[in-house]
Amino acid sequence: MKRKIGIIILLLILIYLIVLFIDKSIYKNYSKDLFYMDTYINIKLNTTESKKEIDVIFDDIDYLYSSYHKLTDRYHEYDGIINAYYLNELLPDNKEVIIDQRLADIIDIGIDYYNQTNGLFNIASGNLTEVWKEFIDDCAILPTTEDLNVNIDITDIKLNGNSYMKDNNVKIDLGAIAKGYVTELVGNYLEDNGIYSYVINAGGNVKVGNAYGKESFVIGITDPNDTSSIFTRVNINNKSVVTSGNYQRYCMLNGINYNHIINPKTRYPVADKQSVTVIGNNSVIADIYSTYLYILPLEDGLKLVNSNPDIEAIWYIDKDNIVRSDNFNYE
Amino acid sequence: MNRSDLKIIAFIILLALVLYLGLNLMKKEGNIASIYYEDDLLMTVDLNTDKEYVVSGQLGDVILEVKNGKIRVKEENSPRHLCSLQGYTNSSSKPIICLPNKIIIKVSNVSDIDGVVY
Amino acid sequence: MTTKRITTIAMLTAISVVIAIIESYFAFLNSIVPGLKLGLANVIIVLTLYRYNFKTALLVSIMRVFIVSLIRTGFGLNFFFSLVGAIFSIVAMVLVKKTKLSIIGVSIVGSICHSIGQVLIGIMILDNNNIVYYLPYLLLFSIPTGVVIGMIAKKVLAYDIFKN
Repeated sequence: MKRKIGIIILLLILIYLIVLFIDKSIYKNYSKDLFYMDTYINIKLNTTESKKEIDVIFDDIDYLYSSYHKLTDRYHEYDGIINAYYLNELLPDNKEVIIDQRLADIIDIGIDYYNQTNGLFNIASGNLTEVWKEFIDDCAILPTTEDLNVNIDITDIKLNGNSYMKDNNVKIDLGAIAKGYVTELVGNYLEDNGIYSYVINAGGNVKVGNAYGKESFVIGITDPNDTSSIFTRVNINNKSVVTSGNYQRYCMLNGINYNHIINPKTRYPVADKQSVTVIGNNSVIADIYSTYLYILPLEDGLKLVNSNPDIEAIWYIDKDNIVRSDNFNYE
Repeated sequence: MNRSDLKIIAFIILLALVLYLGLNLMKKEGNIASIYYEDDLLMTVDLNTDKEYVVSGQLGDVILEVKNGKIRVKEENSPRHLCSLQGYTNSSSKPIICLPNKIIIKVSNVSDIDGVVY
Repeated sequence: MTTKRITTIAMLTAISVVIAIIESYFAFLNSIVPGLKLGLANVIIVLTLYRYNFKTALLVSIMRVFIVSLIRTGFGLNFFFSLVGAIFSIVAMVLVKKTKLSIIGVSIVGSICHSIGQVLIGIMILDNNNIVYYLPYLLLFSIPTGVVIGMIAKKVLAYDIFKN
């Protein structure tokens, strides 16, 4: 009898060891919610790592989003941080300041894409987006042409390494690039730490890794006419998906939708489509292109995407007119 | 088969029945919404019963309404009422996010969608 | 360990492996309720437990899990689930063997603990509480399998083909 009990105890220890062993080898789901960059960020991971290790990783991700949030924030001041607010509101014209390399990198990409998009993607349009933001918030009196005649000349920004200087009170607006930029960083950070199966959803700026246990991740694209449902879905691995739409931030006045995406050439909100969704390998580029393609007329955008094998796009012009690029083949 | 065997069979059938009923009462057909303030679970609500709930968010009370198996934010104090504009949801792939109030409503049901771009 | 004992263990293991492999072709049960299986190989375990002793039965049971994994299912997650299930089952059976339960009752308890063991480890490891919803079905299903296994084991013991 005593020996029997001994064997049973040994067996229980064996079971315990098996549990420990499997725990190390099995894929588990983790999820984390964050609030930064005026948006809700959700990160889902599928990994063999233990909760303890993942908590460290989530803390690092929290730090990444929070530090970039502070750097790119144009509405708030933070102690000891030279951020977009400082550059826009506190820095006098023609005075050089040394900025954080991380912020300089983002501005650099912005300037680069200004040139690549013939000025349609303009991070120097802070003065203009400010006018429209005020209007959208109150939704009362349309800005006059005079109100809109503000300086958005990107050449007034002089960035040399990480030395920043501005002129004519030009203001930067990194809203169309920051989320994509950090999301890309976070994705790379996860992969560097051996986590390949993940979904990062930063306010609709989605980046996914390699699906585990199934063919691919399924990402739905919101229906602009019924934002509680989706109009199509895509099956992707190792891609980023970003949507720009007229339903995200807007004001309806006299039957006209004034949304937050402003064409810097016309200085008015884009009104000829409801949403554009871009799928790309890189979250920054997908983020930038979703804004760019939203501003660009459909024909030009279609031509552009069809000549670029790295990017897929779907245009929701209206309920009856949905256009896909040649390589956008799902469902 | 003796009487003890029959007893244990009866016990198991009873146990299975109790478990089945108990679990199904708790389960509510998967239509549960969880209300979070940031990362903290405030409460879970049953979407099968039409009812209103009040939770406190960053900017004050947020009133939630459950109707016909769906949930929405009925009233809240944010400057632009974006989260009441988001309407009803009954899908896990479409959480309602009240940003200024930091309230998240997640419906827990099985969804084949991993995320939604919006 | 005598040659006879080694031969006996080898023979019992061989029979239970063959039964388990034949049974693995009825894997469709698993798609109805995960973890659901006939567990006919348990006949040999129950038999061994009654005819020989706990240690022999344990040895046969664990060897069976190893060999079946080796030739059929591989050493993935299923292997560990089977191993834990087998251990749970045999420990439970040896614990209730001394009570008033007949061989059928003991075999029912074995079947049930096989399921419960797997569900428990599933909850612990997969962190998926939904597995618990299968428990009532697994419990109910273990009654007929337990009865059948117990009856077969009883019949075979009566013939006493393992007589020394």
